Amino acid sequence: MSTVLEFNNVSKYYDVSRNISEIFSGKKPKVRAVDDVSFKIQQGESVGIVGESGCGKTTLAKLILNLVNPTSGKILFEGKDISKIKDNDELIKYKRNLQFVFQNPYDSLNPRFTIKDILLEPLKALNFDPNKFETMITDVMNLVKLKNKDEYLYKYPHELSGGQLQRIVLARALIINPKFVVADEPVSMLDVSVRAGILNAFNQAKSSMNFTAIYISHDLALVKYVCERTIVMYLGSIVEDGPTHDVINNPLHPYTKALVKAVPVPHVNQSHDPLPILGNIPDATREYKGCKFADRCPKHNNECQGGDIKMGLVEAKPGHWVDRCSYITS
Amino acid sequence: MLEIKNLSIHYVGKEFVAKAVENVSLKLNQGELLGIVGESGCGKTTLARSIMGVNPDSAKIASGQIYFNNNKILDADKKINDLDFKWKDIAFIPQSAMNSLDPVYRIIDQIREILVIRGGYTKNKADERSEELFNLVGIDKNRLRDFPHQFSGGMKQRVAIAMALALDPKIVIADEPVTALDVIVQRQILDLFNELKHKLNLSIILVTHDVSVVAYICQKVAVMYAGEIVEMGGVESILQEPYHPYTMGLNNAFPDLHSTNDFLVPINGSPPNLINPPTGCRFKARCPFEINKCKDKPDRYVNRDREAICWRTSDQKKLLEDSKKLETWEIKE
Repeated sequence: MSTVLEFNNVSKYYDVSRNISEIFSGKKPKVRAVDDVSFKIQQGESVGIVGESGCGKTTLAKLILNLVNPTSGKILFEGKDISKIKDNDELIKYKRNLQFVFQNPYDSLNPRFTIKDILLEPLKALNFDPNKFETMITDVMNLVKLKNKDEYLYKYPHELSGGQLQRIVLARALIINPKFVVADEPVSMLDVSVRAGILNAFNQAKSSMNFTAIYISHDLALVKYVCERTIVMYLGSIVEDGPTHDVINNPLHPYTKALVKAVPVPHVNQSHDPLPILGNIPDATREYKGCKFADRCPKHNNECQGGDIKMGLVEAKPGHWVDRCSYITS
Repeated sequence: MLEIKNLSIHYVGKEFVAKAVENVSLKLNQGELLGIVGESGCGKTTLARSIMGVNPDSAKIASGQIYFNNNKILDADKKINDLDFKWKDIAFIPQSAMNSLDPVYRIIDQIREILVIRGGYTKNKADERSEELFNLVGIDKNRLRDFPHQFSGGMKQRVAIAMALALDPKIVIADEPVTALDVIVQRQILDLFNELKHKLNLSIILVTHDVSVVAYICQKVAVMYAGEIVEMGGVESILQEPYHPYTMGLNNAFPDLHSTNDFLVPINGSPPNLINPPTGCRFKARCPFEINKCKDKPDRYVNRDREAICWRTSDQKKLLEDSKKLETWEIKE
């Protein structure tokens, strides 16, 4: 297995000026959307990125797609630094490798395009051979289980249901046969009964095309059905990274423990104990010394918040990494 | 306490009539937490709003009545506009209530508005009551003078709950109260509902699309599909022994963190158009267990507290077994 994507100490800070005094004083607090993140993704892996809103998971996706530039650190795709891409040809070459599945199918399809136009757009933009367009469309429509393709191709987005639209969004991403797919909450806008169908189509496409996938979600229960590896983020940092099964059944970091307990399950007689987490998500511009989770952690001690503690992932079990903090406290 | 009898609500447009709610009957007892689950467009919000009488003008009550403590509060034949009991006895937390706070007023002004205009409080009394309410929902009273943008999503939801409780209602109707929230905050809000229910002996109707939310706090649940209540009963029995194929499908399609299955079972197709709903069973086009009889309206199956609208309730054991298999739900020709 070869490494497809590598993050080396990548950070992305956003400047925010939220009120007049901050604007005029020139004081610009920084939101640390992604803060010193490193990981590697191997060919063919499917990785779930889980966390609450504001934890930086969407910024991470934007970094991978080269939509925003990192403040510091390096992102390597197949060994090449993607921030070094200068001219258009190189960019097209890079973008032929990866595709994005958006969250909201109602917003991400152009209402004035027919489904066929929508599917042709990536092919035209990335300079594919026009003679192959028809077969590519047929193949991808079969892949996303819209078998009777003529029924859909000349319709407009408003004529299809949410589930069908999301299949089109998926088809648009898969039509160029990408090596790498980033899906940002692809089913969160859909009803439960159609969700499962989209996830199954995604899984089947993955096994037949063998692409590498990143699946971003706030819902650990959904990630379980798609990914074999899960990365948990909190306030821009990775707190835990390991096989999905281990992360869910045997979480190590106190944040993951709270998250797993909080996921609602469709069973009666569940525990109603309070969650092992304190307070609310803090202000995103806050700066931290030591562990970011310390003041919400039920087990924290003075040491956690001190400046001398060095954070970073430690391999607790083979393949299961956790932020140093809990490694000490547990 | 609250009783809905054969309620039908139609949205009347220029060229069409959408039958959003059809022949719905349900009862809510004192201190009960009733969940209404269903997918988007199944009429659950219209039903919840009709209790408050806050549906848009295009929604016409085609038939049925709603009673509160045996007083008629809604009738198809005549307009009852007794706003007085509303908000005092029944309070409503609308969908995305946290976004419905006015951004240019301080929170305290918004709570005071309800207390003074509806409750007849004086300004000082109203401020005391506001502090009490914040205490109840677990927010520091010093934050009363903050603006909505200074609160996080979960806190705004708490404010919305505080506002609903302002006049000591007996029933609270909450429409998707935890939908836009993160799981940890979601859990905290649900725990708050539970706590308030016991403390104030409230009856709560919780409208949601999330089966697990219902499983977590409700005692009774009504499953809606295409404007009808297809199944109703205790939470435990609905989750474990569903009678209606839609409920079986919904349970299967729902992701479960601790299940050993590594696949989800989808329900194929999409809900019917309510402008021209199918005759007979409304689920039949998506149902894998369709039989000839399904073209006629099924009888209501009643067994103690259980109700279901399906022809095949006598085969329930077998259907439930089959419904767990992926191939059962494959697209039918």
